[in-house]
Amino acid sequence: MTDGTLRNLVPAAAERVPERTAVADRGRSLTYAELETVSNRLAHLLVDRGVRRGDRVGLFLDKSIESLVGIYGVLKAGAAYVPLDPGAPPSRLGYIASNAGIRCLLTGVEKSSEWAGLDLEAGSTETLVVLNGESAVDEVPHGIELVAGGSALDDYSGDAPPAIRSSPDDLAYVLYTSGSTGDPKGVMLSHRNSLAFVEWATDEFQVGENDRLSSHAPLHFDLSVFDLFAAARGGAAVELVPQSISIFPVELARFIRDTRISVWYSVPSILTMLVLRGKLHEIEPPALRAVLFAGEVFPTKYLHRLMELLPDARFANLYGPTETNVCTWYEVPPFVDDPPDSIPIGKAISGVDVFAVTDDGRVAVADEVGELCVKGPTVMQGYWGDPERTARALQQDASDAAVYRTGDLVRLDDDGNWRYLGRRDEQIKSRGYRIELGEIEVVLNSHPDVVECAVVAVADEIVTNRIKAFVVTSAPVSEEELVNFSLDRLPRYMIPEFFEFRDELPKSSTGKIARKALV
Amino acid sequence: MSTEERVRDLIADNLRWGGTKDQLTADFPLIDNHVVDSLGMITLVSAIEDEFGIDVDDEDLVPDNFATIGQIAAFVDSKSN
Repeated sequence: MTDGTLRNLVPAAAERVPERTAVADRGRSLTYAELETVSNRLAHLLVDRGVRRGDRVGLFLDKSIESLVGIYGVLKAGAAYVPLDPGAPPSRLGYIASNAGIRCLLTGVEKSSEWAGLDLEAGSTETLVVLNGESAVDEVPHGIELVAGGSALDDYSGDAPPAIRSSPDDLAYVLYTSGSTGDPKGVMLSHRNSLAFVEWATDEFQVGENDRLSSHAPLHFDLSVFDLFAAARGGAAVELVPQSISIFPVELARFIRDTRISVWYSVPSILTMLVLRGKLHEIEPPALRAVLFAGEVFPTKYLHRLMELLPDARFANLYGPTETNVCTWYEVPPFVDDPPDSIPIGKAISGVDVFAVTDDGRVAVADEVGELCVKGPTVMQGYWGDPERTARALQQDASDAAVYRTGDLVRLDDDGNWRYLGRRDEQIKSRGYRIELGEIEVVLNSHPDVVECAVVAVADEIVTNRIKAFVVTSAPVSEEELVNFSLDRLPRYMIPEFFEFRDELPKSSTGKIARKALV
Repeated sequence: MSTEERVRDLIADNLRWGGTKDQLTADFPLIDNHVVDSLGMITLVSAIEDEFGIDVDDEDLVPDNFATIGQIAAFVDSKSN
């Protein structure tokens, strides 16, 4: 049944469980049969408008049922989707649009005018498809063709997807992540890369047609890969968690109970908020049977409390940079007595090989600290349009297999579990977002009055890290000015929460800024 | 300063968002416009607790109390009395 691509997931589910819910969003829903039909129509429309195998199609709208239709439509057209952060500033959107070569963009009524207003090179976007409405922007600049996705879709048959040649090695999506040199980098994942993880996860967590999976993470965040594709593979429903609800812990707890979500997946900080303020103990137990988390360290005292509140659920820590999907995992056993200080990242998922390399280039033996390296089918194809960075990140081993160096320092425990110890570089996590502090420094340094700066992470129990900037300026500059300057160039989760103005920054003997002296 | 003005200042000073203070009118939807996100809510609640000397209970964290500056001000006033 499977052709080794993500294209086949919805057709297979539509055949097996046509009347089951595929996706639900605040009372609206689509069955697998409906999702199959409408995504087939969209795929035909895209092919008709010139989208070809290997093209990158942007996705720029608030997460909705239409977003999923868009993703499956793009995949069925043989193209790769590029999910854009709906809250990203124009300069970042423009960079990604031009870097990925997005000529066709799927958007929504609310977002289409924002895209039309971007200062893009003339002719770079040729087609805007508005998925959720008949009308959109009044004026579409420089020859962009506007397609109203609602009525235009009716012109196409929904019976079958376009007949496109495809291979498991085709690009499935590009996820942009923070880059230390100042520009985001596009992580390229093939169908094979994605399915290697999705198939493992669907089997390991036994995702089936009676499940309802949460979709909490944004679509430009790689946690969404599990939510969407494991659900489709298992014939389960995806329940989109409205952002307005996830802000209010008590409402979120009720939402989980009322929607009967059975498998939850998110960054730990949202679960910590649920433990601290969700009043889970006062409501009847939710239907949750598995709670998965990834993206950052889950403080064990809150994890312990959550496990006590949900005694019948499985708990699993999934680990892996976007470049490797998920590569290791750890099923958290019930804690006897007090929880340990931390939990491991566990063992490799099936089919994937992980090992650690020491500073002097040897494979680490037990108890030695080394950099975690990953080899196997989940490892990315490279960074879009950046062969040099790809060559640095992916090295070939003796058997010519690509090895990804994560930059994460680890040690192998006696029981065969990997334990995360820290980073080799200036990359941090905050609320599960991966942030290169260097990228923030590049932006601040580009302000005309900034002489030098150092951006550091301040440890925080709930969100892992908060960001603080130390700045030396040549003329008086307000914090507000620097915040607004950064907001024009960086996503909001990368904006420093604290600014400290200094006359000078401490230096090491080699003249480098001594960051450790600032923390 | 009125409660509403003090709440506006707290939001402008504590939350990083792309707009200007002028946009933060009493009925500007804070959540739909992504002024407040899940981390921002934690930050905002502790700022409100410090500024007004009140305790915000878990049950108080509902959209009716936090959707707009006007609603936050009304909530703070009801808590203070």
